[in-house]
Amino acid sequence: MDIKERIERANDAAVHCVIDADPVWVDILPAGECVEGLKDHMILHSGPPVEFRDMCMLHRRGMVSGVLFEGWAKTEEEALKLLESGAIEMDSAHNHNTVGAGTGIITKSVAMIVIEDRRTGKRAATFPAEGPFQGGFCGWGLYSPEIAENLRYMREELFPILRDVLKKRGGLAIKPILAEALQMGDEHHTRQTAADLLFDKQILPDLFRADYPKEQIMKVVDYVVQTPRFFHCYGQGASKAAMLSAEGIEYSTMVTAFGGNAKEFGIKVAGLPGQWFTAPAPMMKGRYTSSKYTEKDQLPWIGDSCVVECAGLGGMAAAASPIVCALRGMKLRDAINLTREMEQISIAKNPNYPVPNLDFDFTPVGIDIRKVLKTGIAPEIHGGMFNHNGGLIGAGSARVPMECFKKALIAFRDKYMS
Amino acid sequence: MNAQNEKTCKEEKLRVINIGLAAFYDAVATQGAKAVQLDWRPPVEPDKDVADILDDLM
Repeated sequence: MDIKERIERANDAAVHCVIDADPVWVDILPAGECVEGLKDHMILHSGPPVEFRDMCMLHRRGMVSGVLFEGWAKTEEEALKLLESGAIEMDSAHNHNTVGAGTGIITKSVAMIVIEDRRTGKRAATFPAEGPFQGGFCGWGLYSPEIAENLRYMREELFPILRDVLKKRGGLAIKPILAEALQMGDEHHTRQTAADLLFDKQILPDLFRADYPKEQIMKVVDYVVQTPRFFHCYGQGASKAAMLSAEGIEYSTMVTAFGGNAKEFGIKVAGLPGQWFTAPAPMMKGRYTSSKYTEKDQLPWIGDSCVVECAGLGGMAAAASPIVCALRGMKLRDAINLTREMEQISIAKNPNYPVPNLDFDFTPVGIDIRKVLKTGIAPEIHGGMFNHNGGLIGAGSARVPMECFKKALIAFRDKYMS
Repeated sequence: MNAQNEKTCKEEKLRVINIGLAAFYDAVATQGAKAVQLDWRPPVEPDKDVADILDDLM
């Protein structure tokens, strides 16, 4: 068998890790119990690995927040000293079975949503939005006594009830929600409006039947219903679980990870496990929340939520959500053209995801580094824009830097053709 | 625009093939002219080292 045939077979196997995945929400656990390799005195962050001294302000702030939240230091000054001493281990979330949306700060005591791919048994864990604090500690790297108390409250009071409900129903299948919401205007990166409602429809009846005082139940209901984009962590978890199933498939040129740390953007490839291929983090194009903002206010790409694009959602499925594209001044036709463009760099179409705006054609899935370089078409990733102080200032999209794919291709040649 | 072209534009119905920015297609189509948008972009020429590897892998 020649190398071309080996690659085709490997990519077929890799893309079917996504197409045939059966992601199910199975648990809620502290990160220390479900994120593989997350040790005590260790903090995970978004994007490719970066030294503390080279981190952007948001990540440095997140690291300080992590130390304070875990009680490893009492003051910011102490936390900073500890971080600079090297006593705290830091690593990329994507190097574990998790992803870091936004700043992606994950320490052992953060409660995580656990998604299992029932086809392969691979488990991914993602942190949920923090209710009234939204991105809060994990997504925005913030810390205050109120945020710490909310995280404790989520972990010790809200989630035991949700966990109990989840156990009684035997898990919650994620794929049907992803599929149906794609037909209702979501692309599962910037927009989860339909998925949130479909999720609520599944979980609320079980919550109301649960044997807890009404006041406690209603606190959980309020948290689930009032948290914007609550389903986002489920889409990311399902995507990461599928990528874990594909990781390590020899000869595969399929992308398994995207992530940025505001300095560098990195990709991973199934046939080249454990390696990052990086380039300067891209800027986003889109719409700002205020006319006072311009590109100079914008932080280059930060966050791993673009794992959903690896699984054929978000920018890859732009046609499903012209509403999201309209945020950037695009029309329905532009959204359709964008997904058609993404087809050219994809390995297959996902028959689970027919889209009305495509005349029920399927969304493209599985980004092939060879096709990206051959066509010159960089994958489109949707997301939110941060400013340099950590505020959300808009939403839009970016293209993954071509340099990442070029480096990956050269590494692929060195591994498989030498 | 020379006199012949000007005459053509005024007297004949426009039929437009637009290549590139779709906004130009929109402008023509919304005025009732027959127009098509051609999905075309200049062919990409990857670096030689990348092109050589791709030749072996695709």
